[in-house]
Amino acid sequence: MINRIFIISRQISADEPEENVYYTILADPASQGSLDNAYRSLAGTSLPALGLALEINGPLSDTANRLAAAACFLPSGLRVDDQPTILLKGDSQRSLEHASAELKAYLDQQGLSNCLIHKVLAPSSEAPQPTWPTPGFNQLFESPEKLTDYYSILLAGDRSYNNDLFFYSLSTPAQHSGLAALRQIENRLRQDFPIQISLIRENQRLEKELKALKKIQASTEAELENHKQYLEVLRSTHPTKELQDYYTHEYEILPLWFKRLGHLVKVLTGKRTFRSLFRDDVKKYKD
Amino acid sequence: MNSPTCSIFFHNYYGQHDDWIRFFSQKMNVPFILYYNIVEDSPYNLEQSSLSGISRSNPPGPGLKKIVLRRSPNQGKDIGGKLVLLDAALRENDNSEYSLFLHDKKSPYKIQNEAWKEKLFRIVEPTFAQKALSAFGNDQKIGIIAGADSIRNEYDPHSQSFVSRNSVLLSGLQSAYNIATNDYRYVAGTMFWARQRPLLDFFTQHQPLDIRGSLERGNVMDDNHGTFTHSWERLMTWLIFTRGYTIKGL
Repeated sequence: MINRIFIISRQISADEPEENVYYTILADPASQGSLDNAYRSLAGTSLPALGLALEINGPLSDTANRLAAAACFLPSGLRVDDQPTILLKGDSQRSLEHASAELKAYLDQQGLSNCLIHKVLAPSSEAPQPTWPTPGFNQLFESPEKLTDYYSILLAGDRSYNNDLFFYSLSTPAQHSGLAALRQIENRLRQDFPIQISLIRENQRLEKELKALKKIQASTEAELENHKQYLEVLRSTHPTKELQDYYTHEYEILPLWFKRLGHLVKVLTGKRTFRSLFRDDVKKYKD
Repeated sequence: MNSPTCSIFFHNYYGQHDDWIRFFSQKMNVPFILYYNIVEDSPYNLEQSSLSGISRSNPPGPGLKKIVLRRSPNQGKDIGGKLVLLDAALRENDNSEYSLFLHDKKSPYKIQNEAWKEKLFRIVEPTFAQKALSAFGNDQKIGIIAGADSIRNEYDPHSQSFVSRNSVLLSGLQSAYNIATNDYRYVAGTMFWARQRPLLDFFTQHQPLDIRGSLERGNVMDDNHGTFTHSWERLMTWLIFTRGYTIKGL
């Protein structure tokens, strides 16, 4: 797909992995059982990636914040453009804003400041026509028909790709039919405007490559900084003292008879010349 | 007994995952679960595509029961990674008897870096493990076992104060987490064997991720000032002392 489609459901029934189609499992933060079930699904998934969606009806509990962080640490935790991604679903803008700020603060503390938190606003009433999302929020679609109507309009506009769409799937057949309809709309566009689609694909490929290179650059710069720090530490204390201490603890404290025996062992093992035991003016060590 | 005897908590910054898993599988002579954290923003671990392959290419065997993988940003160095893994162990309802804490130690700023690393990794050798397990079995008061040469004392009896730059932070954290002990020995490098129950009891009361949230980001060092990360290096030992256990060096 040329847009990102997020499927939200309480039970996962994923098709074959498909580019830009992301599955998330919905949990109720107020219920410990629901959070535990969500964790089990996330940790035990056979999908390459599975995300967490939280149903927001009030402030987030500490347990929910921790679960969101733990979900980001899972190897199969959902990443979009290499950024951990969490969905918050609710019907109150205020609750979503509040929960998002709380969650962001907790994730920042965990070093997950790059985490994407999508606020997904459920429709308050059944609007007859597809509507554009409120700025800062994403629109949730619960009906496959409304989703496909919206997608048709979206693809015909000037911002036809790199959008996020959110579909709450109440049943597996609804999920399958919704995705199939979206694919059909895209195929129509592909047939009518093949050059446009290939340019979009190329643009997406280059953006992905750019992000990957930026990541390599950032981690390499950080590692370089680490090595500068190591050098400063090495220079701040005289290395000969550390070497002397090491020598003292490892060798100097040994009894004299043991050290002398060691020299004999060196001769016997061919590491030292026999004559050097008695004279200083001969070659001591064998090459 | 069917349940695994040991859980290894291993933090990886420098990659080479298959080599490490093979290393543990060869060395460990007791059944074990491997909790394995990967620093995802390390330049040595940028090949994320290999993550799912780690479990697939290392199926369970006679020793290795399961690999529990995690990936996290570089926060709190190995302590931060081990806290991520302790959180995973709590979520997995891990009931192993013993824990073994390790990380792919490298200290490029130390001249004797390699010798220090070898000393620390001595604790994975089968002979060491054998001795550690029999010591735990023979003396119920032993809570931690480490290489004798890696046990340090944070307390200086002459000055009657902590020796490192972490003293202020340590006192504050001891009081905040109710870690009261008169024994201030700790395992430098945080590589040791421990009884798992007292550890998990503590982290059930004080969530590992909440603690991790206070740790410093990046390659933190305590040469000039104290850090939460280095304070928790000491507290990881002391929190076991507060439950009536002691430490033994081998």
